[in-house]
Amino acid sequence: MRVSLSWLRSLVPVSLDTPALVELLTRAGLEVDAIHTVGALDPLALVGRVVSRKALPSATHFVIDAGPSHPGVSVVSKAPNAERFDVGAAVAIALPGATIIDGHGDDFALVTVASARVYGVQSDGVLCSERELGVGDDHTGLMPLATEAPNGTALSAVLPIPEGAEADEVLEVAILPNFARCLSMVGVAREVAALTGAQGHYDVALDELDVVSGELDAQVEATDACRRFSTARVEGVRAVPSPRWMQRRLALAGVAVIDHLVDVTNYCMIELGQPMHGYDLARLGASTVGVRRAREGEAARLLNRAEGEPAVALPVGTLIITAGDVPVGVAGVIGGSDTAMRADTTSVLLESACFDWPSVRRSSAALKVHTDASTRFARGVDPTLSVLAIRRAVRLWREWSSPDLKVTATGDWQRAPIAPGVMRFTQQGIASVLGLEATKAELTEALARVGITVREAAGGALEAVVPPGREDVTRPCDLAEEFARVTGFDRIPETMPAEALPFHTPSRRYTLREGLRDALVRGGLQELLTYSLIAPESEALLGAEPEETPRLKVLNPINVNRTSLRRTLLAGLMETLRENHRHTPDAQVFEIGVVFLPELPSPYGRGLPAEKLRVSFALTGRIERASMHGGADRGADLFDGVAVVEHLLRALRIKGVEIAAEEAAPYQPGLCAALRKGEKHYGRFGVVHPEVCARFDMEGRRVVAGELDLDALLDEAGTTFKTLAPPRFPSLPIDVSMFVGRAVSAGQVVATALGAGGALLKGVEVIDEFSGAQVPEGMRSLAIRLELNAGDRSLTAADAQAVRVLVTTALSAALAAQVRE
Amino acid sequence: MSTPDDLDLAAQQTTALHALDAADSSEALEAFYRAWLSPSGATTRLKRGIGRLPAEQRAAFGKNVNALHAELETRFQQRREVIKTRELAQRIAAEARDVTLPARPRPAGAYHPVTLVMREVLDVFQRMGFSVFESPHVETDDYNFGLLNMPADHPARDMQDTFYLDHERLLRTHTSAGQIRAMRELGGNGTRPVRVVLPGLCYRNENITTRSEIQFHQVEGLLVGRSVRMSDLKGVLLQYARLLFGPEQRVRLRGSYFPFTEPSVEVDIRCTLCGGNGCRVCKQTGWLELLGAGMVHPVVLANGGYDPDEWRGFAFGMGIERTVLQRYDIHDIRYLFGNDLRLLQQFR
Repeated sequence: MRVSLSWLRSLVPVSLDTPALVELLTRAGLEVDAIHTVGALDPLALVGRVVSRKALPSATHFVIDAGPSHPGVSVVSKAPNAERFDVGAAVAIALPGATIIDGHGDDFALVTVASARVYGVQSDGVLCSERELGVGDDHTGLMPLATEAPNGTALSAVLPIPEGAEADEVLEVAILPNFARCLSMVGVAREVAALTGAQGHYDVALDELDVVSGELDAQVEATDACRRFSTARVEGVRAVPSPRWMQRRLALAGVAVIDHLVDVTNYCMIELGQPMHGYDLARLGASTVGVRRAREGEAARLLNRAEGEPAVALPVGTLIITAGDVPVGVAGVIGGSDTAMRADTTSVLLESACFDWPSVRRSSAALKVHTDASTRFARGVDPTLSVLAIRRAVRLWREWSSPDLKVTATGDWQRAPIAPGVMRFTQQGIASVLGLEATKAELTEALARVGITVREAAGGALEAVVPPGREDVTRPCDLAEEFARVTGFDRIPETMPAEALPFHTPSRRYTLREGLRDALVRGGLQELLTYSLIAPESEALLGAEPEETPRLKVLNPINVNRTSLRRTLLAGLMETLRENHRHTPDAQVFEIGVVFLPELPSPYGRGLPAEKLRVSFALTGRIERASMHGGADRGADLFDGVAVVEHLLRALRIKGVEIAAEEAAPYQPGLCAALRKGEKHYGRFGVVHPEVCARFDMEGRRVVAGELDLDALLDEAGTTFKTLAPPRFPSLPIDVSMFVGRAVSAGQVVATALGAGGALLKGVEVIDEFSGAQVPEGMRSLAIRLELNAGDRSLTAADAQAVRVLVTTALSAALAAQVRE
Repeated sequence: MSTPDDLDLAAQQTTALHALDAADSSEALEAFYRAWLSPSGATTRLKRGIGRLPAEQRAAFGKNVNALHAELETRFQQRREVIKTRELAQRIAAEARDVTLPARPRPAGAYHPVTLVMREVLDVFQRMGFSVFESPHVETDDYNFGLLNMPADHPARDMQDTFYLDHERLLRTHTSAGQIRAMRELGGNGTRPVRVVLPGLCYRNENITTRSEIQFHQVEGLLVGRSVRMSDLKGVLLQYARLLFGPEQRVRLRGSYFPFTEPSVEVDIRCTLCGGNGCRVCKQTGWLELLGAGMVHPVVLANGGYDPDEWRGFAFGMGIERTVLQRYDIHDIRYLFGNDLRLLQQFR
């Protein structure tokens, strides 16, 4: 809502300066998003002085000193009195970006100053006339300035702005859904009056219509969507240009100026908040209109379309206005072009209704048409306004364009009598919600300011009488809000809750998950947060899931890359590497986040997808780097992936999970592993297949990655464990070398050795692997180190030999290992 | 019978002291020790030579040998201290390096800045007694809107552009969607108070620009009790602001509107940049918008299982990304989920 301050001041005295008014409105819930200025009040309208002047064929070229920031502005002026401004003369200059008033013609129009080339000369501003600055009517030439103020001073500081001047400030006020009443100048003025205690005078001049109501009753079929429908037949009107003052108010409100017939309906809407529509009776083809829902196959030509465009199909059920059962407009949204008022219109049917907001919202959304009218109806229009607005419009027409008009019939259909709301409440109830003390007198006075009357009810309770149009106030808590708004939220003290409340209870899932995040960052990985929405095509590049895998797609994606909820974090990580690898070739990243699996049940309710917590990582480029201190560059390989996974398991204190070879996309066969425990599968990691890297535009780059089911891992996570006392006697290492078949994994060797070695064997570590000429065909050589410790005594050679025999026998028997002495 | 030459203690002493003076390094000193003072050294040999002396000389000789040994030992120790000190000084001098040379490479991870701010916020609320409650990203229309006093076609739905999966399911537009779940799960059918914060990712169908994103993080707070007042909301948020931004902080309330709270307010804190004097960030007002809040609407309380005549609550909700941008002077929100590593790695 654009609020012209001069218009506002005509409705309510405002003693506050603009910043104070903005602060007051903002604190009461009417947030001011921007302040627009016009003419002399624009901060880009400055005092300047002529530095040089040069005649052009039919204009004058000035260089103006407009202060330290604009010391030499080149301006071309066509003003006839330009040659009277000598070097040193003061001028009013509007710099590019300033809004001034169009000085030509009788219409009110706004112009934004821009740089341009005039007669081949650069012109970076406008030297203004009185009229352009909105401080007077003269547009015969540049306005002489008698001022001592330095160059660059804002004109508003030196120029007296007379009462009724056209220079203005316009506040752009954000209207929250419960402030529908403030989508009008009178509504904002009432609010200002309530907040400042000033006395407003917004009872606009009205004409009594000397006709009997009921003559012109509309055929309201859709009674569920229409609360009131008022009409008037007005004859003898003329479409002439509106008076300048009305054009000006409309222009400042952001409404297009057309002619007096249309302008008045728009003016009433801005002034009072009541949208109205005028039909040209000669074109309507009926004496009055009706309201019903659209039927199958109906269409209408609407005012938002260019002449000659085909009619727009009206979705079934759309609330429409009809004339003789033919659609002539969409109720509360837009009128039809065939029946609209035009330059030759002489008789008008004025419609001023109160539609219920759901219908208007649906029409507006279905047709994708949003108008000043639909904005107001969609939030609720005060049902008391409809006849008021008709009388106001008739008065305004009569005053300017149509002194001889006649109202020949009126109608005022109402679904039910319009009455104020009455609500019971207690003084204590209001005070205790806010946490302050308030007397009944204070309550009564504050609520009266917003038009709510407080009266005694039986049993010591109070009753609030809420006027129609304040349908946002239905409960005591609404009264509490009104009281706080009017008396100021600063009255509310700061206290702490006075009752026993539950303490902070840590959640296991949250604690473990955040602990893992810490561990991964400590482990040298960079945390990422990627989008939950992704293109299925991007996930398909991984080749991990068949195309027909169920996916959740949004109905209204923002673009083609954000259409579906992700099923994996890996695609996001691969995309991140793709976007970064050219400038950041070494990267070790991870993400903890949810994926969405519609095929699995959700604990949050039927129909919702399972949201599974995953942890995913990707390593690429150098993991060790050469430096001047030595060392060598080394790229990430499978075993860096193993290291990340083991680090993660340690952080979660998970034991007994095994890493086993597996083959699955997107990993390279032979360089892929799964994390398992019995039947449970926790996810995979490995070296990403070269073809997958190529699909992500990283041909030739090696990426080691993995994704694990964090929900399942958290179930396994231990929060505590038992320590072992450090051994009092030194451990004894025994190395065992062997040839084993290629199909036998190191993991099997370690597990077999650990299982067979008995109580003295504390650990087994693989210390060497090689293949080569000395190794029998189909086999490889492995060396393991057994760590022996008896705990309470030194080990003997016999102990060592015994364990060695146990281990080697088992390896030979179970894995056909050829142990080398 | 004269004293054999090799038992001439004065000569031995002269030789030994010469040798000691000549020993100029730890190694040389060690050699001196082995030669003179060790069990196989010269003083031991001298002691053994005592048998070759006439009986009447032996007592004096023994005493003198011991004295010689003791003297050499003392001087050896002194000499060793000197050498040790000198050698340490030499070693230190030799080891000195140019400390401005580059470090050895060492892997360093980093948190995403959103995590940093999110944790800070949650830490403070947890210290104030709030528990963390998490709810799903994909919600029903009911939890996200309907049960929060926003039935279909409600004007307040204009405030949020929603990603819909179908007519019933959507991506939550705010963490308020978890309010009803928290009340129903923790409120014991409207019999127990609740004090939780609900953190999480939210989604809105908005154009991606330098200031707006399709996903962002929120933290919702919800406190339900029998005597909760708006002044408690003010007090709790003041406490929060002071724990997070310092003991001088102040809060102020402004009127606002949310369908699920009544009264509704915006809560401002003193501008953290200028301290309230007015600057570019606070648009010269001295105040920064902290969050939206209010007293839980009776309809919402009832939907959460509470009797609104007996129970009251307050709720608040704040965005995390805006603080991230302000705190780290990031001018484009797209960096946050765009994951430009050149930006993120600055958090190492």
